[in-house]
Amino acid sequence: MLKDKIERLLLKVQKPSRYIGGEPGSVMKNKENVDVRFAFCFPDSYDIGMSHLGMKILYSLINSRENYWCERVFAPWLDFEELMRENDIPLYALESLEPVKDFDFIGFTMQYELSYTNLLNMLDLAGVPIYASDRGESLAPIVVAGGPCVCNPEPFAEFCDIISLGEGEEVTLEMMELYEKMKKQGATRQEFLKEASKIEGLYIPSLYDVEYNDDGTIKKYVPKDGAPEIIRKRIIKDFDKVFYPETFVVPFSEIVHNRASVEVLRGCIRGCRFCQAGFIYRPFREKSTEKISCQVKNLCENTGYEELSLSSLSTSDHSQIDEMLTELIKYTENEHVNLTLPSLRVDNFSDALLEKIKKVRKSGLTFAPEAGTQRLRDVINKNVSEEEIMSTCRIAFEGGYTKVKLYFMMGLPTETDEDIIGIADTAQKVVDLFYSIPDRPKGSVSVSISVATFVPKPFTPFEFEAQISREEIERRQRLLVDSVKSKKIKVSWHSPDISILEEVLAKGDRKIAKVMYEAWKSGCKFDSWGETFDYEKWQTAFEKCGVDIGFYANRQREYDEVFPWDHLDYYVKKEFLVSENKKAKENLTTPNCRQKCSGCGVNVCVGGACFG
Amino acid sequence: MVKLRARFEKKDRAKYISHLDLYRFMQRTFKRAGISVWYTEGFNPHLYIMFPLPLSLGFESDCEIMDFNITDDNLSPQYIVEKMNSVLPDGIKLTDLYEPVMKHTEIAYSVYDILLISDNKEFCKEKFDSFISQDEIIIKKKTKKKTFKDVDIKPVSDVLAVSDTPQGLSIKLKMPSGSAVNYNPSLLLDAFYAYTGAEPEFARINRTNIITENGDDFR
Repeated sequence: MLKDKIERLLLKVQKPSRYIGGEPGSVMKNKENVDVRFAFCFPDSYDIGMSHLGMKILYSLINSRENYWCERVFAPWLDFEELMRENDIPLYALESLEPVKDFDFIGFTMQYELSYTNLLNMLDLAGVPIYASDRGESLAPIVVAGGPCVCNPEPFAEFCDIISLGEGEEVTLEMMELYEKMKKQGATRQEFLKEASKIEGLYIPSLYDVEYNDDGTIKKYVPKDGAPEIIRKRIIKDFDKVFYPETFVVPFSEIVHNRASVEVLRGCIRGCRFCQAGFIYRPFREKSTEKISCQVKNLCENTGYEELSLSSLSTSDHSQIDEMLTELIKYTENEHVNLTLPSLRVDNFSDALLEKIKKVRKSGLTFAPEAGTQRLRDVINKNVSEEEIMSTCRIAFEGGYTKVKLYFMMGLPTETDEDIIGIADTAQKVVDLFYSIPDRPKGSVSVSISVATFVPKPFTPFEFEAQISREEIERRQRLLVDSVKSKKIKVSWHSPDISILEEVLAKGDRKIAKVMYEAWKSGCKFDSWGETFDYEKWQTAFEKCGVDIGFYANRQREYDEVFPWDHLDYYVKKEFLVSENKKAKENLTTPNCRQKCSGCGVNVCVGGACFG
Repeated sequence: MVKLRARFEKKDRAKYISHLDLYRFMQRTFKRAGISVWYTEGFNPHLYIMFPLPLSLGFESDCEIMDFNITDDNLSPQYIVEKMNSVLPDGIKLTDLYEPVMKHTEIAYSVYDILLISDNKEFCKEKFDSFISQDEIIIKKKTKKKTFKDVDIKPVSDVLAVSDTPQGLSIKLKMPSGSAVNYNPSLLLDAFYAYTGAEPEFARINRTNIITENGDDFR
């Protein structure tokens, strides 16, 4: 039995409880009574994957069907992977402890570009052919991928049978229902995929041929076998009624985010031009306060968690934020539950609410101005003024905080040295502000500025933009460090290698697949982990395949270029992205969706207007 | 407030919950069961839950001990056991609940059932008998200062039974346990492996009882 083989190795590895399942909330079923089995794979370690909300939602959703069984699978850490390979233990699922290759579906959630190689590694560990074209005619297993990164799935599309676009709460079950029906009819893989292509939101990469221009850009996508020319993402229309788990699987060991979490709204009204999430999760929808309270209570009672978090892109944009927080704070105080509030703008709150929030917020304060000058903040449409940054910091200092963390980006379109120096100036002003407050907390202030290199992403107004070159990244990083004059300010940044690879994988086309395969073959996996990331191996793979990194990372695109993701429809129209791009270059801002509809195109899915 | 002591099993997949994680695990279990456990009063209130005798990761047990206090005097032990067991995962189960009779310092020994699974013929009763009948069995034991010293563990290893079974070599062993003197059975097993020059494929170790100096069950 596989379980015995696994147990014999567990005491030889770090944190063994993550490889054996059995946690409270995990779902066991009798496989004799199950028609369709789904292995939900997270292409990173248990500690990361078990913190992810989307997986919890789909896990509960699929398991709510009596005859479907969803199980969890994570990438084993290096020590255990080595033992698995030595002892012929294939990738297995945590509930049944049975091999993933025997499942009907192997689903991956693509959250981050640097986890792509783990998809290949996990398929290999499972004993499933890595290229979809090598999987023959038998129906199972079907490899399907979803998540935010599939808005440009082309770099990994050839490894997947199906790509699921947009929100998964409805389409996942529709796909499984079709499968259940066709499995009973004895259908082949190809027959099933052809039928699946008729379901809105399902993109079957093998049903499209790609034609390229002489310069390497894309000429067109040619659909085959009646597949649609344009594949549209799925959207949940009635978000207040969407499925939400009654309970979570509660890990035995501590993980990154080990807490109950309720999604309070989806989408974002802000329209920051660099932010992919702000465009691909449109339209803005929220849950009612009653619904949120009810879900909070259910989750806290059923998991026993002592910490609760609210999940969204911008919680303070909830239209009933005051009432909601007042009610949740009352509940959590009674129940000895800590409420954590990430992504919260505090500048427009009432004093009474602020007092309550101060009581529950223990960690330091983080704030994301994103750019160092007002001009550049206008370019990226980040609607935050220096006064707001300062007034928030003032609130924080007066409330007893001495640590502030500021997030910025570097390499934004139109950025000049003045904007870089502006980052240092902004941090300095926060330091000066602290010392100007008469009743400031005792001790000294610490301002951390974290500067990420900008990675232009598909489906944003900056999808046309080139990433700045490695030399330029390094020069601007030096300029920033030289501009910081105070010891109270600490600067941190990412290695350029990471940002460059992110950009290539974010905007790549199908030609990247063989590079990724080569990189993985030469040992690349867990690329998002400092101790395992090996950029040189990636560089070698690019060279070996004759693929130019600069073509993907550092090339300014024309407005009329056909992109690898142009046949995927996320409702936001390309003309809108072009007009936003032009406005950005004129330093013109766009009001948020609640103030004025900017006509991005998403409103057709809600039948008219997103608000009112 | 009522002081309570639970006896619980820790088996199967639950044997991989580390001692460090057990506190949080039980805290969440109480919350799920809806049983109000007493919080310490102080600057940083936390649930009072106490495990007097740690169990090594990977060991199973019939008899783990957990002390806690409940705030509602009207809850019957039977109700608490039922509630807790209804929300505990497979492998962990409360088997008894009572008001503490003894002090933690009265814990003197643990009894273990050990099963060494191996195809290697060295792992047999005959070999173990000759191993244990040596005049002394010297091992390196970690001291509290994180250094190692040579210790003869023969005097503290009370072998209650040894037999060859179809599953493997079965050993029943009693060793000192507690906060003052503590010997892990794997010390003796490692010495046995060194003696045979081989390791079994798998060692199943199950703590079957915790007893006092004069052999009574710890209550």
